Amino acid sequence: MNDRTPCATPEALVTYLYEECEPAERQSIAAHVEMCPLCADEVRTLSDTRAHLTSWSPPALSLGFQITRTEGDQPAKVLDFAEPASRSSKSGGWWRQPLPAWAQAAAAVVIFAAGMSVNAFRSVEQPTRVVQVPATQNVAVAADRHTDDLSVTREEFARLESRLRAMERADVSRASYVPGTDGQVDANELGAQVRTLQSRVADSERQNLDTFAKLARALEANRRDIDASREATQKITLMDEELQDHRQVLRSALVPGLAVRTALTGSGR
Amino acid sequence: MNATAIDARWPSYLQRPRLVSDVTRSDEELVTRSRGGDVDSFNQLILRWERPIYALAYRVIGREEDARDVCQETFLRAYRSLGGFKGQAKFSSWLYRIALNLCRDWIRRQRRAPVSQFPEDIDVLEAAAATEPTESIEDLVARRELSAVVEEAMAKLPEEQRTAIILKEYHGMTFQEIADLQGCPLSTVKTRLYQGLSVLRRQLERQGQMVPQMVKRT
Repeated sequence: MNDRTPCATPEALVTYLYEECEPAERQSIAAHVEMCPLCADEVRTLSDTRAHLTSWSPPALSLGFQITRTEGDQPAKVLDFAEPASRSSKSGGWWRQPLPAWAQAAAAVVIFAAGMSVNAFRSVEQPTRVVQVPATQNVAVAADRHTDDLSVTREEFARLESRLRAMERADVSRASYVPGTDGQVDANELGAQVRTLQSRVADSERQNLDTFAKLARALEANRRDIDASREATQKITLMDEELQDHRQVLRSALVPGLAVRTALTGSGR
Repeated sequence: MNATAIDARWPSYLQRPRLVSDVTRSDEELVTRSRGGDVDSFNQLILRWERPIYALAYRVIGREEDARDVCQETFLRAYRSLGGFKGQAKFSSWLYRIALNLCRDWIRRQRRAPVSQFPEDIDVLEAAAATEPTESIEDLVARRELSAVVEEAMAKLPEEQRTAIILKEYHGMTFQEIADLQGCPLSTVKTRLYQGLSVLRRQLERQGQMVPQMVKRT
């Protein structure tokens, strides 16, 4: 309890709780609630009670009341065109029922997987060519023979690098390995080869990025397609429901004595 | 082609399909058209308000079928009394007033506390799962249990307190709107809300749905 300001009245607390008070009043109550544990606890428990109220919802029910057109002196009627709740979820074929979320997710995964498989199949059709370089052959020359093959993987680069290092080590330790015709390791040539490989790796990385970008775009396009199909399905479902409604109306208009619940004038309610 | 032109050409024995213009019209426009004899416009109003009215009736009287009857009767009375609706209040407020009067009549006739029933021929889990496909069974059961506890606790409240809470919590009305509907001063509405919520809190604490309040206000 606060010594300086009196506790808020229940009415004031309710006004504060539902945020329907004037700003000055709200500020005053808020200041008091901050300092008064009793009022703070009261506001908290009332808020909790309100939160519990959200769990209560009336049972789902098809209603669909309609006023029928009045003819001459005939009284107006409210016709109840609703179907029983238990029937509403089962009417129509399975293809008319809205798909549950898990089924939609599964369909999306299948479509995505199919897209990826097609892409993978195309990749298999155009296998990555591996440049086989004999140990004694100049790497740069070998590479030049495949100018159209720009994809060099990191593995290839690592393999070549390790081979070059092995050559270097062998040259240093034994001096029996002669890579060139002159029997000397040309440092300039080696540097040029490394630079060439580095540029090819850079090209390859750029190409990979392009490929990823294309894949991302394809994925986005797939997602848009799925969204569009889902929207179309919803529209079809709505149209179907509307058609059912119209059929029902037509049936009730054409078939005399159709059992519909009516509320007639003077029925004693 | 506008809605009026379509109305003129549409067979009188068939319900005209809904048009975009029907959906976008305000309640006041639809009321004006209805008063001019356009039944389809009134049917648009029914379509717009039948669920809130049914929800109100269900929560006040607690019986599904009776709530449905009250809902149906509300629209029938509204249609017949349309000539007397001068438009000083909102159409929805007028409709709520009719529905609440019918609920009050129903309660007087019953002369006992409302008992809510979930229809026996509907599987609770199936019905709820149909609306909440992503909810787990455990969550579903917990929600249904909590819903039943709240429903039971609400049923034990005096009618005025229950109605005030329903109008405030589920229909988002202001204190003034509730006071107008219940025909009582603003302060009475606040008192009803406070007392109703306090009783509910104690009920929920007893049911183990809420931690008991540690300190009590005097």
